[in-house]
Amino acid sequence: MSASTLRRLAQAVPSLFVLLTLTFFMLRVAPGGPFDTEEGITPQTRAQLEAAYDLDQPLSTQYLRYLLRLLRGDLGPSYQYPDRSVNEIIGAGLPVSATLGSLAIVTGLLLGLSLGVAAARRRDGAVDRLVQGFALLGVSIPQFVSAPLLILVFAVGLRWLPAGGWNGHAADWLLPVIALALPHVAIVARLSRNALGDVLQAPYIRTARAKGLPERLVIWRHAMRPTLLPVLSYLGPAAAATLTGSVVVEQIFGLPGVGRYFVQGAFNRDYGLVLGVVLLYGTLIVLFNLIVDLLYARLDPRLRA
Amino acid sequence: MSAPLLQVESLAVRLQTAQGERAVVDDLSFAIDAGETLALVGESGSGKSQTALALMGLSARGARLGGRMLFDGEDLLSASAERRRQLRGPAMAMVFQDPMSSLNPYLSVGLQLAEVLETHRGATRGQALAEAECALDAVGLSAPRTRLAQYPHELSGGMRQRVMIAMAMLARPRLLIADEPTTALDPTVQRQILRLLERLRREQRMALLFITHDLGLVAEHCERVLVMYAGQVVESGATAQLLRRPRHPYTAALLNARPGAGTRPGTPLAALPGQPPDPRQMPPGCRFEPRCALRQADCRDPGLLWQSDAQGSRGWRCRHPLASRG
Ligand SMILES: Nc1ncnc2c1ncn2[C@@H]1O[C@H](COP(=O)(O)OP(=O)(O)O)[C@@H](O)[C@H]1O
Ligand SMILES: [Mg+2]
Repeated sequence: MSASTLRRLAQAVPSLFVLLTLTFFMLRVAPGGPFDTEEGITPQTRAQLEAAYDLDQPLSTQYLRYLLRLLRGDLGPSYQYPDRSVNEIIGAGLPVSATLGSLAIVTGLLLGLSLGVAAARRRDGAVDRLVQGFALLGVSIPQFVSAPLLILVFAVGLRWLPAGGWNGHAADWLLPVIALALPHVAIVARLSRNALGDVLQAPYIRTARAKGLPERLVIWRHAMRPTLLPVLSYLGPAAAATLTGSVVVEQIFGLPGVGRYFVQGAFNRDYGLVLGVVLLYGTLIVLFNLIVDLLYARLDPRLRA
Repeated sequence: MSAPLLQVESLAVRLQTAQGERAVVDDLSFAIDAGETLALVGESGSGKSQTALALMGLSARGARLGGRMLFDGEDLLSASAERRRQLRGPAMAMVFQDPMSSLNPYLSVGLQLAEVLETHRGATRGQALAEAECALDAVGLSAPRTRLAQYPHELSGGMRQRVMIAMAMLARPRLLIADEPTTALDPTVQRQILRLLERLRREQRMALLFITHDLGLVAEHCERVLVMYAGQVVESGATAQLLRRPRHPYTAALLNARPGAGTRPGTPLAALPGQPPDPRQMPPGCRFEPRCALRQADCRDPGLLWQSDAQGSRGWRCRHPLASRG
């Protein structure tokens, strides 16, 4: 790892710290507390619970104790699942979310890029129009519509695939991955179609054709790098968001991912869980932006110092 | 007499634009023999580059071409796209005006050279790079091996144009089209590049279509000249004759407009009074008539034809040419 990479990582620590602090205090400003929704809880029990979780302490003390634990890599207890730590919950949910998420991102890149290339090769042709229509649909249909539609067609109607659940079959993954990938495919298709369309007008593309290169080389060797730049800028942050789990898709397909715990945690004022997920998301954002920067330098020699 | 290397008959190029179709080249005919240097001269916008692109088969999408182009007897306009691609490189190659934007900034110089040989001769990367190194040496670049690993942004404008020329020459083309290859370069580099082209042409018996707006360069380097105006050839002939005794008033005006009487290089076509005609409203007769100091009543009449002298070596598109001796 180069010195500049390490420097970039070090620079990210303050940002993550600010994110953590803001989230910590904003959660406390929001009305309600972790044990408000518990039924038939006596004031005594409630006081005991709050004491057990340090919630009776001044906010500053709670904050400092949280930071100290965090330094040891401990995200603290979950208030909602008394027998599980936040580390355990994320540890259980992340493999599910990250597996589905990375499949969705890879699908988004490969399928989106193929569609974008097919469209850009003949701008305003029939394929281009089809791809543009699909891209518009893909970005404008929200997942709470597309996911149930997929279930309706492929699980209920055609009975090809299970409607949800998580039994370790590859078939369980298919519909959620499609639902997760759809917006990425659409956006990557549109970004790459526009970028490649512009790149193909460049004088150096005319030079490549003047050399008698086959169109395959003109596109995949001469035009692909600049086409990938905007796609990567999108996919970096998108990967961070998708790998930490989609709230909607995990709920609809009943998947035990991070996203589902996150919503439940927010509803239940499960401060520790929400903070843990926000921190995970922030760390991934930093990481993926760094990866994107490194890839940029690999793709564009002018960015290599 | 053997057939010329390239014969162009009544070439027409029509481009699609937002305002509809637009004729940018019209009724253009010429021939180049193997090893010959032919100059194509004209003001900016007269259709020189579009002519070159049509020859290469690189006209913009939606362009409609008419007439005939025979390369070594092969009809280019009826050839398949794949056949045209195969011809680009070994049969005809092109050097573009702007070396800054014509090389791919994302790929190394070595790769951009090597792929020519990989494509046209099935060379391996290793063989191709070795030959590319020789080619860079032949165009006078120092430390050619180091250059292979460099990227275009690490080279100066003159070096890039040398790389472009090396690239165009790699597949040993029989015709090289150089489209204002030195316009973007400073004068000393210009001369070096021109001498280089001249030497390569002689060594490889390659025909050169030299596009320029610099009459001085034409006088120094080219055997014959075509003068273009508003998409048409208005005069053609042997350089010395044509420059000394122009028949077409446009050629004469170009020569007169030049500062000083000599034909030294580095003196581009000076601005003539007036503007070239709007391509959407071409004059029906002579296209130069609105700007011509010698125009007469019948110059606007349609049906203006190409005239040539008895030997067919000189021609002009004018009803009232200047006297052939005076
Ligand atoms: N892609 C294009 N679409 C429409 N018109 C074009 C295009 N490229 C060039 N032209 C027009 O074609 C004419 C000839 O251009 P060009 O061949 O580039 O001239 P030259 O090389 O002699 O300066 C000009 O009037 C120019 O505006
Ligand atoms: Mg031009």
